[in-house]
Amino acid sequence: MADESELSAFRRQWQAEVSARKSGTSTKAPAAAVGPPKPRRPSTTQRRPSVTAAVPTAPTSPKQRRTSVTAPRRPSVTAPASAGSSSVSASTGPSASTSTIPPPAPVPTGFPSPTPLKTGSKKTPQSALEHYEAAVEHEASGDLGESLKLYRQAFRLDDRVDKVYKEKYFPAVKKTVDSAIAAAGGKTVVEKKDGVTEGKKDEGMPSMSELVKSFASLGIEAERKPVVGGKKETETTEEEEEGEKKFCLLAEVPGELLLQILRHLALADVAAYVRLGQVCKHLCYVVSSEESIWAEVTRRTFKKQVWEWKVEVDGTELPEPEPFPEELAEVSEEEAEGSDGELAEGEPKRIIPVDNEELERYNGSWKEMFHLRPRLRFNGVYISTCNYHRAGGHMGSALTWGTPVHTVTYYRYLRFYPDGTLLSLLTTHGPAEVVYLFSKPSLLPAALKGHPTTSAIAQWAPYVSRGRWRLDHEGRVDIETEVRNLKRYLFRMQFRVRNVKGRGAVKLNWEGFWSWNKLTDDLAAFEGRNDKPFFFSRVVAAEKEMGVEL
Amino acid sequence: MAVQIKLMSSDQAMLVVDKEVAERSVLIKNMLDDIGEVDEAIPIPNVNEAVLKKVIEWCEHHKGDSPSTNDEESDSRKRSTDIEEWDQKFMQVDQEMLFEIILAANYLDIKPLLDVGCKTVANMIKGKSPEEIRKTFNIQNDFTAEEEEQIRRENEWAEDR
Repeated sequence: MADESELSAFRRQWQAEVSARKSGTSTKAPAAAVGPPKPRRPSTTQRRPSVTAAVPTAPTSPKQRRTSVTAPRRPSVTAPASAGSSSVSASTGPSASTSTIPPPAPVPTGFPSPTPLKTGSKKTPQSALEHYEAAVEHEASGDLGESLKLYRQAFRLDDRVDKVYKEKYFPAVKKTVDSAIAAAGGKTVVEKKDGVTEGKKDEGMPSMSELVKSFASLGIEAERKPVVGGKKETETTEEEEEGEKKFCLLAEVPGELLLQILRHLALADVAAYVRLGQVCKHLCYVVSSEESIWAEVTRRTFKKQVWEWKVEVDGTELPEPEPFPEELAEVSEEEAEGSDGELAEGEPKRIIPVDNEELERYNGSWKEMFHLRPRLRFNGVYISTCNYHRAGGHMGSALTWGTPVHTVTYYRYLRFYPDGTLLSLLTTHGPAEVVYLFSKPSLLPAALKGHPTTSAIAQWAPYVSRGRWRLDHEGRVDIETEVRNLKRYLFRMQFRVRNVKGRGAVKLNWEGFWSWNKLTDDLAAFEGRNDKPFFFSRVVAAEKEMGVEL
Repeated sequence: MAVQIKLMSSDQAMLVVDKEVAERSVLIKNMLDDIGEVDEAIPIPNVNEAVLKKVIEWCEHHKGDSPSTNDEESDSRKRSTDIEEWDQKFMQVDQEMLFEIILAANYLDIKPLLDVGCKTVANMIKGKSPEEIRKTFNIQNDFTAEEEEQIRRENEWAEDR
């Protein structure tokens, strides 16, 4: 309650002062707004705690309104932000602290000793420090207008006066405040860059897109001839650095030509293109944000997807203008009989997706579409590793307690080709024995002759079956393969392309597996209890076969 | 006897070339189409003698090329960074010269040469780690260790292509 009386006393005092100012020097108010920013800030900042109580009374003078507008909410944090638009690193430097650290004395509660040095405030102050001391004194007694005037004068005489003052009275306090600001400074800078107070990701790192955005204005920095240690912050320090820049082609070349270089790179090898983004901030920004290049990469990639059967199961080409093959119609009728709801839909007409229309699913970003949109990859093999346990038989002679259990591991391999064909293999041979040779050229009879009959490929090669595939715009993959030695059957598999976090669309989830008797039109579903999803693996040999450009 | 024209480099060197060769440059071709026959040397103010000679060397080798070799169709059939052998040899120059050739090809509007130049640079990038790229092109690493690691992680997906 003592607080309140104190408060109202203060309020009265202030109101009196404000009205006095209003009647007296109304012209001074705009001058205050124009005046040097530094002197005003410390005082307003400092007064803030007491002012808040007074604000509701009436925004009487323009000066007062200004106070409430400009007064930062958290002095220690926001002060460097407002002062330090000049440079990022300023928050730690001494120049910043002069303007940012409020004079500690005027806090209403504390610091009784330093204030009344020059007792008579009538006595005209001479030096900047004296002005400042007088201002502090006035401020402490609540005479804000006078104190502001004195602050301003003090700063005009010496814009570092607050520092001098602090050194005189509060050498220790300064240090702690300084470090507090330095600590807070790091965070404010991050917030400032995007103007967003973002939810920070792990351990305070900004999110990728924010990070990339912050690189927008940076150029490629050339290496210097004599190595200059990690200086890289601001443009201003850059000029001061000694040492001649080495020639840096990527930095010298005009932006439009840089884009042409990057376009060639991206179309040749997306991985190399993205890797270039790890070289420096500017390249990171260009690689992430140059949508025209991503659009071209994406269009070319999806042009190679197969949206409709292109070939027969045995690989012979279907006639080009294929309205809707009869065989297919039968298949979908067959599907309709199946219990699976997914299949029951049938499909009167296949939708050939239009890239530009797909774009909105990916926030309008071609890069994101390239990353996440369902597609099949041709530069490697999809592998499904399956395990199951089987009880082993007792060996009559063995003196063991338990029954042995066999863990059986087998693998399914799928290799897709952009012409609509595919290779399928079910075998117990592991990837190391299969993937490098799991390709059409390696499986040609002539090529197979080169391998000894004991080699792995000679063992699994006979079980490779040919097939065909197609993808729809929802990421559903239909596959039909021949069944070895059973000409009247086909295997039909259905998958859904799924994203794996951090890798993109590299997973195939099973949605169905049937054998189809072509003669009787019987479709029999396999249980596929042990079947596991397929995951894509890049294979260098496959990349060479396809040409890296995919 | 082929019609010859004169070109004046930025450093005032006079070069005499077949009109047909010079017309690989769309800029020069358009200029000649506009002004007709000229006796005076055509100034090429942005290209010095050494570079201009190099460019002319390329044009002479490629003077028989059909102009359509570089439309979208063939571009997509060929691999993007495939460069024919002669051009590869031609482009075995230091980076400053490569840079000058690219600028000159751009200025003189010789699209196939510009493409070869850009592809050459792209090939210098391809297959290298970020650190190797920095070394090759004298680029300063301005990432903090944390930023670099974060970007590497976020980009990992692209390794599947």
